[in-house]
Amino acid sequence: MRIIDTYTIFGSWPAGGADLSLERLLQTLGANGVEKAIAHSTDCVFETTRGTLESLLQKTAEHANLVPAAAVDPTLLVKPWEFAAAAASRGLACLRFFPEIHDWPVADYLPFARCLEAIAPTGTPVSVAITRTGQITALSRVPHARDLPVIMVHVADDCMSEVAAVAPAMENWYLSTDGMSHLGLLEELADAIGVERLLFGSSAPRGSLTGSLEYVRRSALPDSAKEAILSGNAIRLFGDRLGNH
Amino acid sequence: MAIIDSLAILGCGAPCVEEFGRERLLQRMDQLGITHAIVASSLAISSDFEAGNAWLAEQIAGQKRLLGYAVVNTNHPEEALQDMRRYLTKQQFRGLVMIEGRPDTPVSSADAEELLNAYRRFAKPLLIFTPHRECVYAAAEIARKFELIKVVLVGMGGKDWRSAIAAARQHLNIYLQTTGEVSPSRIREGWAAVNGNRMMFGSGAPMTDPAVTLGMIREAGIPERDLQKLLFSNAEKTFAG
Repeated sequence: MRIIDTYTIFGSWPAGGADLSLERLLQTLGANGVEKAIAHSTDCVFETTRGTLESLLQKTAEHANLVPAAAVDPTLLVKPWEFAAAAASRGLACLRFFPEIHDWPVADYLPFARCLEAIAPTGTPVSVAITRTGQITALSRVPHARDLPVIMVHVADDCMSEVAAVAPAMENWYLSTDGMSHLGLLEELADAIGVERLLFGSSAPRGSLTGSLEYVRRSALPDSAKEAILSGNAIRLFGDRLGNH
Repeated sequence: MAIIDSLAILGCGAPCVEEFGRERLLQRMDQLGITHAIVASSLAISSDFEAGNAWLAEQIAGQKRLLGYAVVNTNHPEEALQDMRRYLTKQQFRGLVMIEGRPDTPVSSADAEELLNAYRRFAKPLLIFTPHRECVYAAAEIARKFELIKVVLVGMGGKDWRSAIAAARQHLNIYLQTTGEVSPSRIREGWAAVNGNRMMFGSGAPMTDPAVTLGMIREAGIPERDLQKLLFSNAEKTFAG
């Protein structure tokens, strides 16, 4: 079965602890037979500038199995939407937003809405880290969030009722499996929002790639559903973006 | 290879609709080759420990593959003492989970001193939830004051797992459990810190599917010769009854 990991990271981690080196990421991707991994660097998260984006593009270009994703911090620059538009024009796999790390509210926050507006013409998927209840509901009300492919990542267990309530009405929304580990939850979500909305993600090497794969492989879902989650849905969503780097 | 899951929690299955009952746990254990599990009641942890402990005792009665933990809340010392006497004299109950109101509240060694003193005579491990560093520090204080009690850090400090590893380095009666953040680095570093002796497999199912925890352990690269210690014999020694 092909594996496309739609959520990986590398770089230094200010909070310390985990080995997030590029070498560790490449080692675990190889050991687990991952064909492609969409990766962003922690530098891009903690310093969202053109310089860190260029550095990410350089590093990922050296490895055929890595596909870059940019991070956007709508609080950092005077006109973050210009940065977002420029990043989206580079044909990246997706742009990532981190409301908690960058400390901005999803609801009624115009810089974020302007970023989505700027990205919309390119059709670039965006991911949003969901860490609190209320964020998914708020996200569904942001103009352009309905038009763009939106991937909910890091979704905590207490936000799953929001996923089930909101996602069915949002045709272009997806849910990443990164951070998901509750026994039986994957099967229940597949039933609630559809297998075609689930994307395999691991947060490797901070998270466990092997553990995340086992979560899908050892689930009670049929093989066709596992294949869709592990690669098929990502191929359909990202298309050429997976291979242009 | 025999495998002991040193923590599963029976009862509430949320966010899944179905309850996480004995049969569901045993089914998952069979699928993954887990031979034994030590279980606590979700009701006992979240709300009514007396009712939860009583329910759990019924659930595991006659089950050779399932052992139990009693749970007590230090805010109810009289009832806690009664349940300690009621369950910890039984062979099937292998340890005590001590909480102070809620599992994310640090357990104060000062407030719980009387209970901890009483608990020493059972000579069984004490499990403390440590979802963050403040809980680790409080558990380390218990370990310091009560050197003869084996203190198991459930959750290993969550994202603050380095604090749990530091505490285990400092106190030889602190034991690490693989419940908590799904991070291979945490397992790799924890295992090295305790020289492969005071760390044991625990999933915390259903919150974490044991398949995920076992995958994380495999990814951590623990040498094959040590896996049996991590997955079985360290827990067997710790909880020998």
